[in-house]
Amino acid sequence: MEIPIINRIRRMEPSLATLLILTVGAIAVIGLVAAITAPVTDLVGDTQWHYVSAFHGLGATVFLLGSTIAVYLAWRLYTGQLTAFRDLKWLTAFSAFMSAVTIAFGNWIYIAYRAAGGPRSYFLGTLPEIHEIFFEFKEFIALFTLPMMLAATFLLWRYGPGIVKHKELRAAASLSVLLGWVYMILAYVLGAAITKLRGV
Amino acid sequence: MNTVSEAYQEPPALKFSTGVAMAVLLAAAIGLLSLGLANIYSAIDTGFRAAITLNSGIGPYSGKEVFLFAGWFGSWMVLHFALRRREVNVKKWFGVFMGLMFVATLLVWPPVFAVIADAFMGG
Repeated sequence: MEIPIINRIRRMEPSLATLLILTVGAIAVIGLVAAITAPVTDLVGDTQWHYVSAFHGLGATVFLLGSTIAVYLAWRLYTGQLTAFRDLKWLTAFSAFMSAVTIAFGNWIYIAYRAAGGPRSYFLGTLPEIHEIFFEFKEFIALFTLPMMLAATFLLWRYGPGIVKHKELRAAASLSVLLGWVYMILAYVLGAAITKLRGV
Repeated sequence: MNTVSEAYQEPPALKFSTGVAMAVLLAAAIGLLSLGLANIYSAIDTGFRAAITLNSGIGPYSGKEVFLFAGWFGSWMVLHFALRRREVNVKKWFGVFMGLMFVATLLVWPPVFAVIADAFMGG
């Protein structure tokens, strides 16, 4: 028996199919765990900041998934072996969009972080280096992801598949994706660690 | 189902000059350098720090972001119009871009920007 959606996924380039399966799978697993283990308020908390924090974290995780696949394709571009050019174009654009979304929610949750009695005052009173080194670095390095991903997106969309033939330009585009990903990983790891130590 | 080799088509030649690419990359680096410099200057000058506090919720971070976006998009516009018809040495200018990115990253690493700010304040 032929199932249309399965046939459609089979016809897609591997990276987009992977992204689709990963995203749908991750949401399904998280939804299932949430549904069977706790009421939503217990999962995300009971103030408005917990929802903002949850969206910031979810946005960052989707950004992580998309950009990691983009980095793999960027490596293929760098070596001149990329055939799924359209996938790289869309994944890089998706990463730039998710970077903007995550930064927007990050700005919003930063209000709670800085508020009286918030994590900042807790860290300054107990572990000042956590705020003064790691959080301050995280808040800036997260912003680095957007120019890198947007620059890479611009290069890939503006030049199109012709960039594959140009060794130096394809290196510039693929290394920009890699750089954006490295900044994203730094911000993601530091953000997760800080949240673990003291959430909003 | 198409195999990868069947789906592959020879890509066409470049449609735009390499100056366009360098403009976007250098502008991104200039925007991030603006962020780093605004961050250091806000640590040195309390008046500047107060002036760039555009939102009380997130403090001077709001103004630093404005510096990032103004530096980034402003320089992109200028560089794009300056370089859009020029073929540039991509290898050389990409090296410059990577160097600027390294400096921009150092400028937001607290142990580095604190030392620079202290030096300017005579500390």
